[in-house]
Amino acid sequence: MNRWAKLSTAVLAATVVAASNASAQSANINVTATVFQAITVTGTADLAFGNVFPGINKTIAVADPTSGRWSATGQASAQVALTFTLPTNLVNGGNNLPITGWTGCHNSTNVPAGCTGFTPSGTATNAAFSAGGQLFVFIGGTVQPAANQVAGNYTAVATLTLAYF
Amino acid sequence: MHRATFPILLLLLAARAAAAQVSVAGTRNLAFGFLTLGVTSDVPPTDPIKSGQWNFTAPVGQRVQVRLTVPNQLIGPSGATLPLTLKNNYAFLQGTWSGAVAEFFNPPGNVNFRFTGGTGAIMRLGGSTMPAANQRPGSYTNTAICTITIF
Repeated sequence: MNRWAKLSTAVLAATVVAASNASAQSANINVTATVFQAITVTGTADLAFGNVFPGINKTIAVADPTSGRWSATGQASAQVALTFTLPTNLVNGGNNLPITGWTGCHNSTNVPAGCTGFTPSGTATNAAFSAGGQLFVFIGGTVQPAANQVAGNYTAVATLTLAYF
Repeated sequence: MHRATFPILLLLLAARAAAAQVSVAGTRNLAFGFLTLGVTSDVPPTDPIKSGQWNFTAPVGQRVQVRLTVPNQLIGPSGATLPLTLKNNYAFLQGTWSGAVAEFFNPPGNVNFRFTGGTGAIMRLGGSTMPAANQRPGSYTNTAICTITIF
């Protein structure tokens, strides 16, 4: 093999190697997910109207000592949607005591002072856990006993649901 | 000088030029976002925000093979793992030219593609995951790799 043939062969081999190396390329992406702390919510105080009298409405405000209260924990600083299932009546057997005028507020501490007010309903209210992963919810309302309201103990259930969004 | 050497050299140099025009870049992560314990989170490849995406460029007419390597789990805090499920047809390749049709395939794997009508294409990847009821909270991640090889 003469000198030119050897040189051409060497160039040919080098070119083949270079072309092979340039024929494949790669690129990466990340696959990511974030698992949030599970939400826990606990009813810590009943909304208690105490004694009410026929024909006289009675209101419990969110800041009153007997307002209803929930305590929740979850992912620090995460946003959550609050939704409520609320009764329209407290019930004593076959007797109804209407309840209306729901009021609510949420706070990052377990006191109503400085809380953020809202109207509890089935429509979501946005809130957020504190940096420590806590959220407190307070609820009030107004009962409207009729003039001929039957005496007795009336009760119902109010449900709070929290969901991340 | 052997005359046969010239045509071969020119052909190989042309192939090297074509390879230089083929490129792939990861342009979007497959991002499940926040997960709820015990609830499956599914991101189809057609999701315009959460699906993973790579962009390709190549000369018109170029044939390529695309190989997709995807992990079967994500890694989180203290080595916790989160399973990643790849459903059938949860990836597709599609040219960016007018009239291009998405070609779905089962990830991971190899698929052949030809740049018939233009010089650009995208590949998207979806997936599914479900954190266990006792899944450790935190961020989970892993890497998906796309390799493109020219014919």
